[in-house]
Amino acid sequence: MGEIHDMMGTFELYQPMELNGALDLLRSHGSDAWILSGGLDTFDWLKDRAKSPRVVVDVGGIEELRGIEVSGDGIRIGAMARLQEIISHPEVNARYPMLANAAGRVASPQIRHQGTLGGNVSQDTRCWYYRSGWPCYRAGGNTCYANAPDALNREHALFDSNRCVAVSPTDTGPALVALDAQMEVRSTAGTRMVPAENFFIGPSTDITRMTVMEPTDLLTAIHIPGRWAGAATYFEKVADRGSWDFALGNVASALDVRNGTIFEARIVVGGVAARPLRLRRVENAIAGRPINEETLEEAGRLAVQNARPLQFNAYKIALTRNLVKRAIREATA
Amino acid sequence: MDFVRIATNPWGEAVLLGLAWEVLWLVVVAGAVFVVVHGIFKSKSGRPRLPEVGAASGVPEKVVRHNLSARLSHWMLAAATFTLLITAFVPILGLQFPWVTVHWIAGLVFGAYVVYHTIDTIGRKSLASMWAGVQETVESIGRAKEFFRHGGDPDERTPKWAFENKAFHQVVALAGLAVLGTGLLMCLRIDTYFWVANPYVFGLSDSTWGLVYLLHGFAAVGFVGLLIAHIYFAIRPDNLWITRSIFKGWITRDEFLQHHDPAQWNVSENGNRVLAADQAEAAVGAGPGAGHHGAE
Repeated sequence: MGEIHDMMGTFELYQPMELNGALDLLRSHGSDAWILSGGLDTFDWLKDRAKSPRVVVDVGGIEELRGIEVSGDGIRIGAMARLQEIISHPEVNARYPMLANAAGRVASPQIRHQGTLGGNVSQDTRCWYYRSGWPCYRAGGNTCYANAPDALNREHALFDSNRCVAVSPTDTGPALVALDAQMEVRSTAGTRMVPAENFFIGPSTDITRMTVMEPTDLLTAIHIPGRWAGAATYFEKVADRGSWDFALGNVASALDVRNGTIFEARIVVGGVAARPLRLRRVENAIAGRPINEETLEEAGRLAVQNARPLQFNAYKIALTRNLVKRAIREATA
Repeated sequence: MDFVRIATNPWGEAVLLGLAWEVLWLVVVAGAVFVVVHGIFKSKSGRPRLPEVGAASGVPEKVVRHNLSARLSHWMLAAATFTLLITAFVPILGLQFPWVTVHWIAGLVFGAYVVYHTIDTIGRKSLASMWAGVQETVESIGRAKEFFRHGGDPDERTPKWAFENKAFHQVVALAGLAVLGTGLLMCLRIDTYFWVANPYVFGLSDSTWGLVYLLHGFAAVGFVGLLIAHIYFAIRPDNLWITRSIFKGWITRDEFLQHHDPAQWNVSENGNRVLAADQAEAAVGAGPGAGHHGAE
């Protein structure tokens, strides 16, 4: 299994103080470079020596990446904003309490004071076969060790697995997808805005990455539009240990309810696929319907329609079905 | 430069993963060098001396070289091959898109064609017509040596398929069977519309799978080189007469007589029914008996 070393491998450390300096470094070193933000994902990799970047670019000193500010009818959150800042920010709580709730369910208080929003959405999967250094598909190999008949895959994917069955571990990701957030991605070539839904990618697109980020890209901010500000929203996470673990499953919902009828909805589940999965079929089915048991049953049924359980994760079917039902019922409670 | 990808598992064991993708660039560069060197050589050696065409040959104005079935097969195979190469290599070059489903579907089309082509060829008992045997290879090497010493033989006319065609076809067949066989094995490990993925099919070890992926990658990269050569020769001005045929199906009487030996390619047995009108016209024009050594 992964070997814990007293010392990390050697690398060149750069600590740029300006955004352009960081982008230049990323362009210069390309795939040899590793972006260090809160360090909570990074140091696992480096200490286990499962990844050995030649260059580490620590973006912690770049002021432009920090802060939360009101922008138009929405808000702009710097990628380096700490999760705890999001949890306690009055504007976030007033407009998007679901995001604050999701950030508040990430790991432990210590980690939330160190971890950043950018890091939470950019972190790699927690599949232990992959993180222990097995040469699996995600590591560039030819095999998924988590999909063997006797593999330990209780935490793995229920949907959209394509050779690799790892899941996205992010809690804030589903909330951002449900809120129609836009990810601001910069490189020396310019700035592009990527819808959160497209920011995360599955193994059928690229089996070695979880986001669209190229080696020369840097996630600089997350823009949340005003569309869902003050709307009925809900976030729930289920984990083995509520105070610490990654999600076995989570759900984020945003509902536009008018006169007791769902006008428009966003339903996103996490921890069950390699990316936060927007359930469009459920969204379309519940639009125009009242929130009652019949609607909830239909939503729950549709939510797990394409589920493909592995040897030890079939419980996630019932979990996902119930999470989706609750996400609709409780959003307006 | 690495030729293979090897990883180390947590037990410290080396695991073969497959071909190193730098080899792709090696093949592309080698292909480009071949094209440049061959192009320069051909331009220095001047236009080929073509034999004089006989006046009354009885051959129709248009000789079918690729009938409709052959043309459709060629372009279907071309589409499948391009799709396979694009979906295989473009993501490796950095442009990411959901390629897996398109890749295996194109692979099955490719495989279906190979099966059809094999059965069809056996059915027509023409398996040997594309086989470049040892004797023919030796003779061809001798002719090549002669060509480089003294220039080409203007009177050298070939059967329908010249040695170069046969040799190329043989290499393509070899690469095609390798990529197809390994591809089908790999296909069993992914979900398709026809079966559910079995990642541990046949219980092959990681190292054996590494060999399968290595062979698949090697054959696929080989196809890139073969494609470079194929397209280069297709667009060379001295070959446009035959390239036209893969679009329109025919070559002219003069082209036939300049490049082919009627004794070795009897066009009357070539299924020229498509051009029946031409044949009738030729037969009328040439008078009674013309059809015996013309195209029927």
